[in-house]
Amino acid sequence: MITEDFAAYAARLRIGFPSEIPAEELQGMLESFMSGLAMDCLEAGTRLIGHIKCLVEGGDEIIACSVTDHDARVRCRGRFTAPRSQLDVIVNVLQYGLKKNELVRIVDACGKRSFPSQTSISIEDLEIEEKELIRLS
Amino acid sequence: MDMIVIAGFLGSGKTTLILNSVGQITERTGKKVAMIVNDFGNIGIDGKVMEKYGLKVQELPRGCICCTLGPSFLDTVRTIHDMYDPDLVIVEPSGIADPDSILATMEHYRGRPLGKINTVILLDAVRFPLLVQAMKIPMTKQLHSADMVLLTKTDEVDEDRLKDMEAFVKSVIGDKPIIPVSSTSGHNLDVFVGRLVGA
Repeated sequence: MITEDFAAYAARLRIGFPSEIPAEELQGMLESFMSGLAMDCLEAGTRLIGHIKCLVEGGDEIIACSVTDHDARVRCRGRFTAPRSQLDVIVNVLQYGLKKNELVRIVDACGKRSFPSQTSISIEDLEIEEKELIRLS
Repeated sequence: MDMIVIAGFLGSGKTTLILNSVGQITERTGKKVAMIVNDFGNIGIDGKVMEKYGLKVQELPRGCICCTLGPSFLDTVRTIHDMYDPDLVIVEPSGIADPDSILATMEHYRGRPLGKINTVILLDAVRFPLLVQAMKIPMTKQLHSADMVLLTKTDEVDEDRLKDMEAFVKSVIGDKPIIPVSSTSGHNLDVFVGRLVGA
């Protein structure tokens, strides 16, 4: 179901906290981030959320969260069980209505907003590698 | 080796359904099951989740097996067939895939002969009104390729919603099976597995 207004963005967020964050707070931040992505997309003009999903790995834990509904409700499989000082979050945003550059902006803004102010966040566009493969020069 | 394609729009519950039903398929039939998971993103989230929960998965990220990844898909099916020789391979395409195109791709399969290929289409009960409004034509096309339709997330909707959905789906697929399921509560998963593998 690819229509003309379909756009997707895949990114990896490397998040470093100034100190260890308790598991429950991490869970809340991650869910707030995911819910925020959906709400920001809708506010910016997304016609239809396809699937906004993320994955956090580390140790024995794996937390996968997703949003599909326009009420921005987050469903998660797995929860944080231990405090952490850093997170590696892979996020996929698949939606209809916004262009990719708007999705890039939303992920960036929402990442900064959802985690504490002293947090360092770097965002890697996971599609760049694919683009390099078709570079002609 | 039989093949089951479990397709449905983005977020319709494909991964959750598979996670919650593959165990039943194995227990009830003793069949050796392999998985092919196709994710649109560069890093396959769904495949990683399935592996974490103990399933053997071959991932095909970065595109859609119904178009750009078609040749890779055929290679993957042949490799799984030759190396692992499962009784059943379950294919989870990305939520943007056109199942008809996957079936058309399989016509070019040149490996050892396959058994049956069945297509199961999932339809999200929570978002049904929104999807009908926004995606009616592609959604109808997707339903046309179904051997069986599952109405998913039924624990979150009322009976009237299910009746509306059943009427809509029936108008597209006729007398083929329509099963309301909830992967979360387990409602009708046994019925689904029974219809799927005849056990």
